[in-house]
Amino acid sequence: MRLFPQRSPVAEGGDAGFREEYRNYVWRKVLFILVLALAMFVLLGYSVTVSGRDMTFWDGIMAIVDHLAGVTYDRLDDPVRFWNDYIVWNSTMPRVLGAVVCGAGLAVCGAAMQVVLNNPLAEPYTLGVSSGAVFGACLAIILGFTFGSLGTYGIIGNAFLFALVPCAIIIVLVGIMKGLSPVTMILAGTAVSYFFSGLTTLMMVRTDDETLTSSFRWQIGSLSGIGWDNLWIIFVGTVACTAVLMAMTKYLNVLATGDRSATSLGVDVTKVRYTILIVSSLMVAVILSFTGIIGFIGLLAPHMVRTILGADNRYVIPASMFLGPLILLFADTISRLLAEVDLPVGIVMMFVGSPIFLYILLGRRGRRMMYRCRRLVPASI
Amino acid sequence: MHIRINDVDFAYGSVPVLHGITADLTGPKFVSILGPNGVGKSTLIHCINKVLSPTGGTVMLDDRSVSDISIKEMAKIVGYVPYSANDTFPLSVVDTVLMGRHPHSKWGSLDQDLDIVRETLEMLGISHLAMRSFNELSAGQHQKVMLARGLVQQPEVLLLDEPTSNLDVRHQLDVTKMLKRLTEEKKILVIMISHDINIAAKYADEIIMLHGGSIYAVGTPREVITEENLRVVYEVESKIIDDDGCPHVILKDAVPMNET
Repeated sequence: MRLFPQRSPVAEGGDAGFREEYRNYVWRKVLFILVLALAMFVLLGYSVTVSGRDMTFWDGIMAIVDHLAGVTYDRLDDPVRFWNDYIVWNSTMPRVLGAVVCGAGLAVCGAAMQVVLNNPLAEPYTLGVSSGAVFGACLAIILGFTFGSLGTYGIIGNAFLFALVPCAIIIVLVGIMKGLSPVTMILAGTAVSYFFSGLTTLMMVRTDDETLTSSFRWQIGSLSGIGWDNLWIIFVGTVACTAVLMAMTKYLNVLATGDRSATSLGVDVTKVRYTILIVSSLMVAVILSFTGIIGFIGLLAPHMVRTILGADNRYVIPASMFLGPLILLFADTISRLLAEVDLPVGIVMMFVGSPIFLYILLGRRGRRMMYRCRRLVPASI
Repeated sequence: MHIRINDVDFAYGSVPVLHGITADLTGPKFVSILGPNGVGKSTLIHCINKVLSPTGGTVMLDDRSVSDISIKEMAKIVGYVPYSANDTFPLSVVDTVLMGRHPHSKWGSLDQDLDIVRETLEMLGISHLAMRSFNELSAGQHQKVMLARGLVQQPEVLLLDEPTSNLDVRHQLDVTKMLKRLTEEKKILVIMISHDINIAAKYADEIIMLHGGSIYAVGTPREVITEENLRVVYEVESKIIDDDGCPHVILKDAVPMNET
C-alpha cells in the first residue's frame, strides 16, 4: 500500500496547479508526522499509567491532571491517590519522558548519521561513541578513575567525555589527511571502536565478579536511572542538538547527492559534515552517559520513516523525532508490563527491533536499500 | 561570462592528471571537451567549478580568481550536471530538481522556484515524472533529471559531465540540440564532456581535445576533428566525411598496439 500515490499532476493546471499539487504532497507528509506525534502522546499517556501498581489508565491520567492542577492528597486520608500521584510523578513520569527524549535524540541522530556517512546502515554508534562511553564508564566503575566526583555522576561524566573521544580522533585524522571519505570515516570509527573495546575487555577480565557485573550492567541500555534530577540535562542537550540538526535538513538533502554535487550546489561539504558529526556525537554522548547503550532506535526509526515518507530529510528528521520515542516507549512499556523485575529496555529493544528491521529489509524498499549497501562496501574489504 | 584557464596543473596525491592547461572560453558558446578515458576531462571541469583546487595555475571567471569566490556564489554562476547521481537516499523528482535552486533559495521563494522547476521539467519532457521517486527511474531518465537540476540553477556557465551517455540516440540529439538552443537563448557558456565525437562535431562551437593531461587541440570542430588527431588521441583509424559543413567520423579500426 502506498501512503503517497505517485502520480504526475504536472501536465495539467499550469504553474498554479503544480504549486497546489506540490503543497498537497507536502501536506500529506506533514499530516503523517502529526499522526506520529499524536500516537506518541497517546502512548506516553498510557505508558505513564503502567507502573507496577494496581492503577487503571484513567487513574493514571487523573493523577497527572490533578498534579498539574495543583491538587494534593493526604497520605493517611486518601492513600490510594497519594501513592498514585507519588509513583506517577516520581518514578514513571521522568522515566517515560526520558524515553521520549532519548528516543527522539537517538532516532534523529541515526537519520543524520546515515546521510552524513552516506550509508543506510550507519547509526548513532557507528563512529565508536558507544565503545568510548563504555570504556569511560568502566574506567570509573573498575579502576575508580574519574575526572570529577566519584559515584554515579563520576561514571556519567567519564562516559560522556570518553564518548566524544572517537569523534575527536576522527576529526584529527581528517585534519591530518586533509579530508576523509565517509567510508574511511566508518572504517576509522570501527578501528577506534575495537581499540576501546580491547581496553574495556582488558579491565573487565582483571576485575572481581561483582565489579564485572556492575560494569556489564551499565552497558545494557536502561531508562531506570533517569529521574527529575538528571532528565533536564538530557532534555537540554537533546533539544539543543535536535534544533541544530532540524535547521540543517536542507543541507542534509544536498549532502546526500554526493560530495562533488553538493559542492557544486553551494554547500561547504566539510563544514556541514563535521558540524553534523559533532552535534550528533554530543547528543548521543549525553544520552548514552545516562542510559547506557540503547540499540536499534537510530537504525530502525529512520528506515521505517523512509519506507513511508521517502528520503527527504526535511520530513525524515521530524518524523524520526516522533517515531523514535514511539518505539522506545513501546519497548519500555513492554519491559514494565512483562517483567516482574525491571527488565532493561536495551534488551527489549533488541527483541522488538530485530524482527521489525528484518521485515523492512525483506520488503521492496529494503531490498533496494541492501542493493545500495552492497555498492557502498569498499572493494578492499 | 569569460573563463580564463591559466597554466592549470592538478594531481591526485602524487599522481599528476592535468598539466599546463591554458584556455580562454567566452560565452555565449557551446564548448565540448573530448578525450579518451582517464585523460582528466572531469578533473578539468571540477577545477573550473571549485570542487577541486588546482595544484598549479589559476582559473579566472571574468576578472575574479575562482579561489576568491565563495562556494555559494560559485553555485549561482556555475551549474554542474554530474555523470551519475547518488541515489542512496532518493528524493522525488521534483525535490531533486528543486535542489538546484538551493544556491538561490530564500525565505518565500518556493513558489517562484516551483515555477522554474515546472518549466524545466516540461522543456525536458519529463514533467510526467515529477512526483515519482528518483530511484524508480531509468538511467536515461536519471540523466534528464540531473540535467534539469543543473538548468534550474540558472547559471551563466553550465558544466556537463557526459550528460547524454545513458540516453538513446534520439534523446542524445534532442538534449544536445536543446543545450545548443539554451546557449543562444540564455546567452550562457555551456561546457560539455562528451564521448560522442559526432554529436560534439555537429553541435559544438568549439572543441577542446585533451591528450595525456594536456590540451592537444582546440578550435572549431573542423579544425580539431581530423583523422590525424583521432589517430594520436584516441588511437583509432578513421575517415572524416563532410556532413552539411560538419565533420563526421566513420570509425575504421583501432591503431595496432605496437604503433601507439
